[in-house]
Formats: sequence, structure tokens, C-alpha cells
Amino acid sequence: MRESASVRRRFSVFRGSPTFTIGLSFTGLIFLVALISLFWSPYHLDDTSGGRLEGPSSAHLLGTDQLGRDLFSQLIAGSRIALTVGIGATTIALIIGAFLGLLAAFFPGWIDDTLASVFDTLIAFPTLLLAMLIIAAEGASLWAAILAIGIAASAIVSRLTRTLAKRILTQQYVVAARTCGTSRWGILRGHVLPNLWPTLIVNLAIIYGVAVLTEAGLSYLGLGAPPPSYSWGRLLREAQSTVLTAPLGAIAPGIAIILLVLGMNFIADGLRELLDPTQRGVS
Amino acid sequence: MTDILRVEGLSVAVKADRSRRSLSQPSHDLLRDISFDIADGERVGLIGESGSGKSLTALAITGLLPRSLTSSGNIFFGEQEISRISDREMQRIRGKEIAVVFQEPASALDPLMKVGNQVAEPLRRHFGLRGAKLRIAVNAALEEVQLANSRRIADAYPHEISGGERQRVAIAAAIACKPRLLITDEPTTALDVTVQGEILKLIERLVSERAMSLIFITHDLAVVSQVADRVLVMRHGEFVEDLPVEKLLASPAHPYTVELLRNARLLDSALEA
Amino acid sequence: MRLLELRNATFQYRASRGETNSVGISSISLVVDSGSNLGVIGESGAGKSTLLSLLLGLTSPSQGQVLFRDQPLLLKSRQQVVQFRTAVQAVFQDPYASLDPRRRVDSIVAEPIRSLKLLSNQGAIDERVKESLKAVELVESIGLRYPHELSGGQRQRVAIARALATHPSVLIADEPTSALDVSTRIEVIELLRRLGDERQLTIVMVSHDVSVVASLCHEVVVLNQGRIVEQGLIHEILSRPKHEYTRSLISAVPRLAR
Repeated sequence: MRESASVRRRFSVFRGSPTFTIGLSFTGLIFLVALISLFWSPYHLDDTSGGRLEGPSSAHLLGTDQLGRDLFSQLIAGSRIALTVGIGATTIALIIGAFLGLLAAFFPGWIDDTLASVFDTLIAFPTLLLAMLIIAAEGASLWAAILAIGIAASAIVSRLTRTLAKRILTQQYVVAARTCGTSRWGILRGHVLPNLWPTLIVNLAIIYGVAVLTEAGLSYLGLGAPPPSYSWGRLLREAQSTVLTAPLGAIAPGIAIILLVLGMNFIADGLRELLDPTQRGVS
Repeated sequence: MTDILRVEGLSVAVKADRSRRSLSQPSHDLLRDISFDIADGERVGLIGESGSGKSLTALAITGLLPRSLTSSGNIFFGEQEISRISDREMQRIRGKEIAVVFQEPASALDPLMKVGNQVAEPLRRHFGLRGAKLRIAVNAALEEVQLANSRRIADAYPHEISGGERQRVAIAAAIACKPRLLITDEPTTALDVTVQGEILKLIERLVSERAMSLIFITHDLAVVSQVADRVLVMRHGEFVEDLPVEKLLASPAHPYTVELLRNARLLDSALEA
Repeated sequence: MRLLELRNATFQYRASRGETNSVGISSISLVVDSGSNLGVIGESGAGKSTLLSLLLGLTSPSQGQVLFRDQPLLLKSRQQVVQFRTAVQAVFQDPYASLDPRRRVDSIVAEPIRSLKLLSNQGAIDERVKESLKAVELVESIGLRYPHELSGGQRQRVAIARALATHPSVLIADEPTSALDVSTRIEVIELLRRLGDERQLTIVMVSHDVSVVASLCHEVVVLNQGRIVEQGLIHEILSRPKHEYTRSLISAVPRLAR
């Protein structure tokens, strides 16, 4: 009896939020593709045996590019870059952003004032621009892209963390914790972080989307990971010149980007609903 | 005596919905088969705890139930059935014949609109007053609720005046069109304790001067005993008692009412030095 | 025995750019004697929150002293903090805000025990939590619930249980009944009175509601605009209020018609 109830509850997650399920399917699909691409690909990426700019056929699912390489193989290879950059940049943004944001919230006074101005200034710049500046200084490579996007996005995370943490610190239950003798560290661990992470996770999902888009943008501009990596953004760049005669070369990576970013945003929306404790079983 | 309001078999429930929440909770009625009458000029106190359904009753009468709820039963205002009429028709009644004053004066008033304009709105809409005539009517309404400097108040924004003044403004806006029925839902709870008594006296005076019928919603039996002729006690969406106030204080029937009265008496007796 | 004392305490709010310092409280002197519940009567803005902050050691007065068991309250060493916070606990006004929404009830009640390291054994902590919940007349299983699943009255009881977990000598209650229905109010008051008797607990109740204070406290202090305008035994204040403000507060309570 109890088992079926708990199974029902677990699956009710999906019934509870269709957006979450859709988001999970989109991103899940791309994860799966990336995983498969590690072990198998229809064609070797250097294989230029296919005819040039051929349309889709039974041999080449999405056709070929101007050098005769299979487009589908390039696409699935590109998924690895999108996911790596997404996860890498988001993690860096989280670590730097959360640390600085919490620092600002727990040390009001000049530390907070200074950090707040820094956050506000950085946020005024679009993530892509900031990333470009960093890459211009460091040179283009996959790791530079991850680092640059991560640093640029950390400004968003820090400001958000600071605002949320500050608000939590004014709550009456934090005052109550102080009268219970809970130390600052105890308040951080026991009250601030638990109340912070749901909102933070939701925003991180969105930042993931921003990271993917920024990476595509960088690659499109030629500032992303240099060849032979197959970022979707680079595919878009290469398809530019032939977009009228062989549109699939641009449409395919474009749709792939949309699918991943949209999927992540849906996950964010779904998570927001699901993580609200007031939605949990009411007596 | 004519009845100004007749409620027959009013029930309000959450709309059946295949959401996650209804998996764990059976749908239940928030109001169950509520029936009562209010005579012309009568003052009825509606008393109950939070969650008893008293505010919901007021919302149902004024056609302001949230969309997630459905209602059944009949509500007659005078001769007209009002629970099933369109929102447009209800708007003609709301503010003009039936008016409501809520608990939070700060949220009842639009923070971005000058106070005078907010009092003017029902006058403009229902009586078509404009220009100088409108201004005079607004000032008269503000003076009626004993707001001394009516010019200054009319020109102010809600956050520029005190909580007690805001509630007076809310009352002024409510009675501006001389409604026949006034509903007040915990009108003093959000105010400072020294101001509460004044607002209560104001409501009493206005109701008797204009021969309005009154539904006074509260959780405080002491307040109800001062203001009402008759008391309806609500619990879990149902009426458990409907008695004239003297009878309620002397010999209540239902055990819940007995408990309420005991608690009120205990608090009250603490003030006997 | 003097448990808590304010001696000529003044607190001024730090001015923010261009404003002059606003005074929170001025030259307040009051004593909390064990065995004698103290009521602080005043409306919002009268300085109640400042007073509470001082009594709870959350802020220091700009002038004057706060004394705990006849010693100045400094809270510099960990030992002092543990001693003070074990002895002096608080219940706050809004039962919807004083409990962490993401914590289970048993974790909430156990917090002071853990933070002050009063018990180290998990089993002992569980026992203490059970005992506290029982003392406030809540079922043991409520420990597994989250705050949003409880009513306002139940939440307030959880807050009281948390305060009782350290076996304090003083319980400072900030408007503990204002957010509750009139019918629930008397239950909480009776609970506090019983707890006070059973556990040798002295209660300091801050409220604008004279009837609530009168139900529980022996001595009262009336606060207006940061100053004490009247103080004495409750029945004297009720029968012969001297200050005009006290009179207005007393007459403001709605009375049951006879």
C-alpha cells in the first residue's frame, strides 16, 4: 500500500508540472545525444566523402556541408560543446556569484556597498560583451569561453544571491534563531542556504540557457573554441554563406540551440512550482 | 419588515480540478448551505474564526468570489436575484446599493491615485457627477467621515495619511453613493488600538443616520456586542447560531458559541480592576 | 531576584544621510523580578521593538545599561552567550514569520538546544523536543510537519515550545496573541500562565492589548513615544490610571456589552 503511494507521489511530479516534463524531455534528449556522440557517430567528422552541399538523404540525414562533411555528425558533436560550456559556465557563475553575494549580505557596511556597486556595474554589460572582453584578453579556446561566460554570468548570480540573502536575514525566523544562540555560520547553513537554493536553482537553469546562447554567439563571431571543435554557433557561421541554397545547414543548429535553451527555461519554470514547500502535502 | 437581503442555500466550493493538490485533498465546501435574511435597517454581526468562511460570505454577496471558486444557491437583494447576474450588472449594484469596507485600508486604496479621486470614482460612475459638483460631493463625503481638513486629504496620496485616516477614506468611498447595505470586514483589525474605537463609533453613527443595513464581520465578540442587533456565528463554513445579541450574551445554545462567550468574558473580566 | 534590568537605557537610531538621529527609547528603567510577570503596554512606534531588542541582547543601548542577574550584559564570551540565551528566550508576534518555512517542527524546536550545545546525544535532544511539544499541548506527531501545514494558533504553540526547550527562567513574549483570533487568544494566555506556574518561568509580555496583559501580568509599564509614562501594579493602573495615554489605552479595548 505504502509503496504504490510513494510511487504515485514521485510520478505526480510530472503530472504536477507539464512544463517541467517538457523541459526535461528536451534537455534529456540533447544529453542523450551528447552521450551517444561520445561513442558513435554516423560519420567521422573529417570524412569529406559525401558530395558537397547535398540535401538530406538516406546516407546523410541532414545532408552535407560545403566540404562534404556529414551535417548530422557535426550537429551531435556540437551538443557536447553546448552542454560542457553550459554546465561549466553555470558552475563557475554559481561558485563565484554565491560566494560574493553571501559575503555582501553577511557583512553590511563598506564590504557590502563596494560589492553591490561592482555587481551593478557588471550587470549593466550584456553577458556576451563581457565574455568577449575576457576572451580578447585571454585568447579563444574552449576553457577561455567557459571561464569568460562563467565570470560574466556570475554578476547576475551575485546580485540575486545578495538580494535574496539580505531579505532572508531580515525575516523574523532569523531573529528568532539569533535568540536561540545560533551563530552566524549556523544561520547561513541552517536558514539562509535552505531558503535560498530553490530560487537560486531556478535562476541557474535560466543562466544555463544564457551560457549556451552566449557560447553560440561567441562561436558565431569566431571567438569560441577554435576548430576542430564543432560548436553550433560555428556551424551557423559556416552556413551563413550558403543559407539560401542549403538552408538546413543553418536551420539544424538553430533548432538545436532553441531546443536546449527552451528546455532549460521550461525546467526552470517547472522547478519554481515544484520547489515551493507550500505545495507539498497539506494535511 | 421588508428584507433587504435574502440568502438561500448558498454554497461555495473550490472548482473541481485535476491539479496535483486535489490528488491529496478531496474537494470540500468552503461554505455549506448558508441561509439568512437581513431586514431593512438591521445590523447583523457575522462572527467566526479565520477560515470559518465569513469573509467568503461577503465576497459571495458582492459578486467578488475568486474565479477558482464556484457558488450555488440564491442571493436576493430586494426583489432582484444577484448571484447569477453578469459582472456588468453587478457593477451597477456594487458601490451604489451594496458597499464593502475591507480590513486593510492600505490595500483597499490605490497607492498611485490621489485620495480625492478615489472617493470621486463611485460618484462619477453611479451619479454621473462632474467638475465642481463632483468636488463638492467629495468634500462632503470626506467631512461626513470626520476628516477635518478635507481639502488637504483629498489632495493627498494614501501613503501620506495615517492608517486611521485611510480607513475613513475607504468608508467615505463606500458610502458616497448612499448604499442601502454596508458590509464591513474586520474594519478595525489593522488599525492602532486607540483609533479602533473611533472608527467603530463612526460606522455606528453613519449606519444609524442613513438608515443603512449593516453586516459587520469580525472575530471579536466584544465588538459585535456593541455594534449589532443580531449575531450569526459561523464555523467551518456553516452557521451554528442565529440569535438577537442579548439572547446570545445571556443564553447561547451551541457549544461553540458558549466557548466563544466564555473566552470573551475571561478577557473582559481581566479589565475589572 | 532581579533577572533582567534596564537602567536608564536610551537607544538612538543611526541617522541616515541628512536626517537627525531618531530616538527609539529614552531613559528607560525597568526590572524583571522572578515570579512577577511584567507587562509592557504600548502601541506600535512606542519603542516596543527597541525595548525588546535590548532585553534580548540583540542591540546595545547608546546610553545606560542592560543587566542580567545583576551583571552587565556584554555577551562577549561564548559562555556568557550560552548562559544568557539559555535563561532568556522569546516568542514573537507573527506566528507566520517566526518559524523557518523550510524546517520541520521538530528541527525548529531543537534549534536552541543544538545552537547552545545544551545536549549532545540525539536521543536526549529528541526527548527534550517531545517534552516541549507536550508542554504546549501539541501531539508528538506534529514534529514531522512543516509550518505551512499548521494553523496560526498551532504555530504560536510551536514557537513557545522552541522557547521552552532550553528550560529558560524568562520568557519574553512580543504581542504573542495579536495575530490570533480572539478565541485562540485566551487559550495561549492560559497556556502561558500555566507554564509560568509549572516551570517557575517569569513572563515579560509586550502588547498593546490591555486585557491580554491584564490577564497575565502582575506589574505593568506603559510606554509612549519611547518613554515610560506610567508603571505599577496592574490592578492599580486599571482602577486609577494617572496618565492620559494610559486612560486612552484602557478605554480603547472593546468591552462586552452587558
